[in-house]
Amino acid sequence: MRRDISYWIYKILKILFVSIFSIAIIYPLLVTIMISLKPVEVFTMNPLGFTTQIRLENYIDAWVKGKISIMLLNTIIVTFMTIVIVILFASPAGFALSKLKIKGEKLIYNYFLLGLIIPIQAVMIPLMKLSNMTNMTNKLSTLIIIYSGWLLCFPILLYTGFYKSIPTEVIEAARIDGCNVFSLFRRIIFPMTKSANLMVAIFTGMVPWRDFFIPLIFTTENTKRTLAIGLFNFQGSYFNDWTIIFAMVVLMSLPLILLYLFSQKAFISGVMAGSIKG
Amino acid sequence: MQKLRKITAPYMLILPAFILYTSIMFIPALENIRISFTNWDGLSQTYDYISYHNYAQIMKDQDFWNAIFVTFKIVILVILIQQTFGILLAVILEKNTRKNVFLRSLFFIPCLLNTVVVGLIFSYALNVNFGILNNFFNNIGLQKLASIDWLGDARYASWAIVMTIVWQYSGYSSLLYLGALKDIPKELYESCELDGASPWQRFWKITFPLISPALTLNCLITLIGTIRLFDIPFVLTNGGPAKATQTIAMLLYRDTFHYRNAGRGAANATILMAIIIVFSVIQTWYLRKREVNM
Repeated sequence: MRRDISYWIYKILKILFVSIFSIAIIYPLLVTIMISLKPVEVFTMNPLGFTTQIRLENYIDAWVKGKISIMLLNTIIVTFMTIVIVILFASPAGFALSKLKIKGEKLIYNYFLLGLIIPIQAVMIPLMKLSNMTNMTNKLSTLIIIYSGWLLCFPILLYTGFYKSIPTEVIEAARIDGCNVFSLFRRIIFPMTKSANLMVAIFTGMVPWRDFFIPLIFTTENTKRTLAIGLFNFQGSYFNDWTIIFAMVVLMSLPLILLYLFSQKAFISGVMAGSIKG
Repeated sequence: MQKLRKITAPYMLILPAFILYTSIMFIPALENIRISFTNWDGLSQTYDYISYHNYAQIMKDQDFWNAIFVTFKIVILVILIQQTFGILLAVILEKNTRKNVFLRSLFFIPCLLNTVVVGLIFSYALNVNFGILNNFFNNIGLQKLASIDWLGDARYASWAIVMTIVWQYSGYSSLLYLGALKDIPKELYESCELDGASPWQRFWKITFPLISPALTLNCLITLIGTIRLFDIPFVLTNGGPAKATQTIAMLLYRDTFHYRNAGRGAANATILMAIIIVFSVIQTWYLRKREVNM
């Protein structure tokens, strides 16, 4: 095959672009990890270079001073409960919308679709008013309820599409055997949707794990806050000590990255699914 | 009784989701519009209706038009740069070789990070004195670029925000395009190869036209997602310097919490919602049209 000059130019540009882009992605992450391991003296002398002097105590300092234990626990509780509520509420709704005869099905579907375009900022002030009126600020349950309501719509649409792909014969056979709707759903349909559940869990869980807007508004006590807001406040009080700040950054990011490395496919499909939501 | 249960059962399955969504999203969104016509301060029990006064104030406010300008400037820059990077990466890393699969999953990592984390990494990386970027420019002898204060100079602060977002989401964008590339029939490339077309011609004659529906869709997704931008400027620049990175969402946060003017914050939120709804309607319309064409 003829390989003229444009082929080689293309080849070189391609390698150049990928190399520069890779460095641009990796280098900031590497520097972050490196700084998190440096003793302060080494960091001030030589912030960006390599060093053999490693101080792992930065991580202990970050854990203790950043009060990570309590915030990690809060984050895990909020994330886990949000996932559970969203799956338990969205899955049956999606099932009913796709497989059962109901009046106004289209209308209900579009009503949930509307939820995708309401920005969280547009409900912030009324929810704040409500939580003040009912004394619900500084409660983990408030965060869980808000996240669940906010993130519910997309999984409903996802389950509706997913259940449509399940053959109707399965349902009719179960019906003939005398299953009522609830046990049909519990025994047969729900176990069939493992992959959709995983996708919804990742799509849903990513938000409370990383979000910082809602805890910023609905919590004021440190003992009720999640990691994202904890980190933000932490850098406010230790704003010059980058070694400890970055140790906390690494500690916070590690769980999600490890989970991702173990189940890349599920993660990518879960995160990408949310892109329709914008 | 048995019969009644059969009829109501499907509704009972929807009811919990319906109640939760209605009470957390739908009613509050309407309530927000109502509050936008009041002078509520966010705390007190009483307030008055002041008709469209908040909206009139906003329209007269220099800060609002600045926020619109800033937001759309960031949105447009992000769309241009991120989509270009996304397409380039998707085209270059299309084949499923081990190296490409590895790079693709590596480039996805930034979008798993928390925005506060990304904000902190970049507030270090873009620092004028010891940051990575200025240090890099210094090393390769570009003194002009090395002296730019990305976070402290009003002329460049929005670029700092754009760089951060592009860094975080380019890998993600490229995966969206990869899906579109996979749908292009291989025969087209083969016949192109026989004609002796250069990679450049091949891209503009075949790849680009065939992924342009995905391009339109991704632009809309990025647009709708970035218009409500709040976290990154909040962490990185806190809207400054000189309001150069104050987005619409930051403005409504300021009105509500710093100026204690929840009515006006609500009016701002309503405007933001209206803008998002307009673009979402365009997106839905576009998706429908494409389904018809396919």
